[in-house]
Parts: sequence; structure tokens; C-alpha cells
Amino acid sequence: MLKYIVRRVLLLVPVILCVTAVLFTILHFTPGDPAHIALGQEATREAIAAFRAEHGLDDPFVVQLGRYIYRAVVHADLGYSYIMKSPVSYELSTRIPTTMKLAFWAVAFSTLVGIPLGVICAVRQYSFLDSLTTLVTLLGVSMPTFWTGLLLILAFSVHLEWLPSMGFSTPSEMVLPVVTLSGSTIAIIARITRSSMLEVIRTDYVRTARAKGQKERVVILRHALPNAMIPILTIISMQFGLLLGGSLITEAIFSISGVGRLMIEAINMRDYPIIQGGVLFISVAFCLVNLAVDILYAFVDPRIHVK
Amino acid sequence: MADHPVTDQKPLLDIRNLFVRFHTDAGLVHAVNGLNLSLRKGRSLGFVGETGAGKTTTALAALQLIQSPPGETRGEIFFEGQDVMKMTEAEKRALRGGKIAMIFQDPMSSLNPIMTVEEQIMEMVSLHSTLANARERAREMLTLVGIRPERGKDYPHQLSGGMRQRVGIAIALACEPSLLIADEPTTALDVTIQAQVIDLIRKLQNAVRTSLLLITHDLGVVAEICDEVAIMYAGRLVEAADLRKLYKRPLHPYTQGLFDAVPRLDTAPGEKLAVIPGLTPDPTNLPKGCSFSPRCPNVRDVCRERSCGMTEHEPGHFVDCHFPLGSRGDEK
Repeated sequence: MLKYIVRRVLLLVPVILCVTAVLFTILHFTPGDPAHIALGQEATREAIAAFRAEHGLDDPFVVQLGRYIYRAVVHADLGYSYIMKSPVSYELSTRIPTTMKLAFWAVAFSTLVGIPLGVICAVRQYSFLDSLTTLVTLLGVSMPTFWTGLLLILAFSVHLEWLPSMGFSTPSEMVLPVVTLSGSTIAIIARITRSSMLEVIRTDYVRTARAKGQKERVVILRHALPNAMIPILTIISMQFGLLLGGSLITEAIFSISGVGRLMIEAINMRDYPIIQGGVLFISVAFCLVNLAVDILYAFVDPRIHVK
Repeated sequence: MADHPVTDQKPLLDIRNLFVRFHTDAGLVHAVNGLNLSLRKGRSLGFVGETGAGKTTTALAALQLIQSPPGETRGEIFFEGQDVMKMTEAEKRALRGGKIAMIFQDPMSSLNPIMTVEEQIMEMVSLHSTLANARERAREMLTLVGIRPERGKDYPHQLSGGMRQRVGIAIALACEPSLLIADEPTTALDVTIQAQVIDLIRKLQNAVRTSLLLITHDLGVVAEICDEVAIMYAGRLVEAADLRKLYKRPLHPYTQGLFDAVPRLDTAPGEKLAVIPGLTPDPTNLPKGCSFSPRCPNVRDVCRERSCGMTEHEPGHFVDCHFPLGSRGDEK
């Protein structure tokens, strides 16, 4: 098991290096001179030349790429935001905890609601509750986040005045963003749980468990659900990976300063180093979540052999 | 067989006028149609019929494992004198595994893939016995079916098909049930393993003194381990008797057809096997009268009108045919 994990972690290295190189290349060849952006349109020719020399912008592309990777790996230095006048790693590190907190609670909440809902729907297939859930989850998947978010703010902040509409530090501030973000995730998890459970419930080994005289509740929870977990885990991890990348819209609506908002601002201002650092963080986060899930698979299903 | 031959022994399992239907998209499937079957304590009954005749459905109905919907069960199923259809959920659970245990057809799919086999035997033990050490009992059962107890820590995918079927047998017999239902226990196995599994079932059946309901389409296996035979066709019995009587003199044309279809050692090489012409009837649309009439070589008008119903043709030999083979009916 340990060997497998080490091997998987080592495999991440080339993946992340490739991502970094591709990102750097794309942004390098995007039109727009960083010196112009940093110094403004009125900057003198000399000032621009000095800036380019100082930041090594005149070096060949390969040298710049090598330097970027070297600094990122050795010094955890992702460059310098000319607009924010601060290191990219610093900007990211102030935003990442908030985004992770939001992503974690949204996924935790969606899982805690989505899985039981899906299980109940599968066990009581075609019941009233099942049809109702199908309808509501369809709504959940179809409603865009900005719409649900605004509706929730209207209802709970404006009219009822129960919950604040901004920020993400106190528990009461966390409720609306987490619920907003969970809407579609709950729907997705509930649907995949339902279909995965429906498949497993019809298997022979579930019938064997019943033929042993096992209680139906135990048959479902001990025999069926663990066998239905693989697709559910996959979906949860994908959602978590997506949310770690920053929930652009939700963060904007609730004025949460997370990675998502940082990215939007950076894109608006053409702050390339921040964009690059942000995308790099998102890809690394995705890789790590995938790794975690692959390891989890092996725990959930002994047939997935760890070589 | 409602009017079963008089014995002083009460039947262990007595199925009376059982109907099982399934509501499906293709229509109403009549899986079991007025089946009567009884089995006395300590005896073994071979339950023979083609695929789709309703054998497994009957067994599942005895365990009350027909899921409703889409299934619908009517009739009476007495086990040790108690109607299982009227039992409470808790009584049914005590019955399943504790009194009636079942070995399933496909050992590849009937074990939980993510539990060790030991745990799966232990689950049965802890549900139906007061044994303090379920793990010890599980190991004992593994030894009994010829698997080294340390293999108990393995998952089903680490065992061969034959071993998995042995695990299925170990689970079924762990709590010494009064009735063992073996649903085509050898169909999914290769021939050499088949013989081992059959031997094992016979040996354990004698050791544990359990009754056996063997579901199969293999008349050879039945001859080897059963005392009685019941032939099922399209959801009901067509013939039932003591093994010797039935093998010596089959009365129903369908039974005769089954025997003719068995390859024999004295068949000349290259000679074609006899087949029963036609197909089993569509269970959503059963023929009027005797359901075998469309395929029967001796069919007469009356067969297409109504079925005969089970009659005792000779003592202890029941047949559902207007014109049993070798009887005066033939000359009519």
C-alpha cells in the first residue's frame, strides 16, 4: 500500500511539471507586455527597458521557463504580481484557506444530504419521495449558482434578515454560500447514489444477504451501499476538485475573498503571474484529490489491486 | 400433490396452489401457476425443469424473497406446519438462513465482493445461532467444505469458482438448517468440480440431517442424490414420484422428452440427440389447456381445452396428463 502511494506521488511530479510548462508557454505568448501593464501606458522607453532587464523578460523563452520552474520548486516562488505589488505565493496563500474551507463544507454538506437521499430513493424506487427528489434534483442541477445565491440572499438576508449576505468567517456567514454551492452538488451526488444503488440492489449477493435472514436495513447499509460507493466517490472527488479551484460565482456573490475572486480580478487586470499561479494551484489540487480518491478506492474495494 | 400419499410423517415443506406473477413492461409474467409440492423431513427432492420453468422462483417464494412489486405471490407455503406467507418480518428473517438455507446458482456473483469469505460465513452464524465464537464456527465450516481455514481471510475474487461455491455451501449449512435449497449448484462449474460439489452436498446433507430441495435440469445429478423427483413445466408440476418409479417409467410425454434428450453411452457416434420440438411457452401468454400441448407428440383435442390436473396414476406416482404414456389412454 505504502509503495503504491509513494509511486503515485512520484508520478505527480512529471504531471505537474508539464502543466507548469504548458501554462507558462501559453501565457508567455499571449499578447501584451508585462512591463507596459505594470508601469502603465505613459511609462518611458527607458523605464520599460529597465523593468524588462530587472525581471529578466529579455532572456530567451527557455531560460525564463527554466527560471520559473526552478524558483517554483526550490523557493516556492511563483513570481511577482506587478499589479498587486506582492508575491503571487503570498496572494494565493491568503486566499487558499478560505476557498478550501468553502469547498470542504460544501462537499461535506452535499455528501451528508446527497447520499442518504439517493439511498432512500433507490430503496423506495418510484415512490412519491423518489419522484419528488428526482424533480428537485433536476431543479438543483439546472439552476445556475448565481440565481440560487441571489434567491437565498433575497429570502434569508433581505426579507427574513436571518443570515448575513457577505463574508465567510463566522458560522452564520458560512451558511448561505455553503448551501448555494451545495445545491447542484447535492443533486449530482443524490442521482449517482440512486442509480448506483439501484444497480447493486439487484445483484445476487444482495439477495444472498437477504436469504441469510439479515435485516433489510443492514442489507442496504452493509452489503449494498459499500458496493455502490465507487461511482459515488468519483463524483464527490470531482466536485471537490472543481470547488477547490474556487467557486468564482459564489465567491463573487457573497464577497468572499477566495481563489475564485482572486482569479477574476487577475483576469480583468491581465495580471498574468497571478493567473498562472492560480491555475497551477488548481491543477495541483485536482491531482491531489484524484490521488486521494484512488487510494480510497483501494480501501473501499479489495478487488482494486494495488501493485 | 395436495393429496400426497398417506404417510405418518408430516411434510416439512408443503406448497399448496402457489401462484407467482411479475408485473413487467412486457406484460404480466406468470412464473408459477398453481404449484403443489411437498417434501418430508430428511428426504431429498430433485426439482427438474427447463430454464424459465419457475424453479428458482418457487424456491425464492418459499423464502419469501420475491420482491413486491414487481412480484406477487399467492397460495399457501407451509413450513413445519406454519404458513410462511402469514409470518411477521422477524419470523421470516429467522426462517431464512436459520431454517431454510439456499445455495445459489452462480458462485461468481452470489458472494459479496468486498467482504472476506470468513465474514460472510460469520454473518450467517451470528444471525441464527448463539455460538459465542462465530469466527471459530466459520473456520470449522470452511474445513468441512474442504477449504483451508486461513483462506477465510481472502475475498471472493481470490478464490476459484469451485471454492466460491463451497463457501456458498458453508454459509448455507453454517446454522444447520432443516431444509437446504440448492439452486443449480453445479451449473456454473466445470465437470470435475461439479462431481466434487455434488459429493460434498450429499455428504453434508447426511451429516447435518437436513432435507434437500435440489433445483436442476440435470437428470443424472438427480439420480445420484435424490429420493424423489418433481418435473416442472411452465410454472407447474407435470409429474412427481419416487425416483425409481419415475426413472423406470416416466408417464408424462415431457418427462419422456427430457430422458430422450440425455446423451447415452450407447448412442452411435454422429447420431443426433433427440430434442423436444418447440420452445417453452411465453410466460406472459400461456397456452389454453395443458401448457405442454403445443409441443406434445400425443396431443389430442381435449388437451388444448383443459389440463388434466394432478392424478395418482399408480400409488405414489402423480402425473398431470390426460393420456399418460403406456396407459389405456394411448389407445383412445
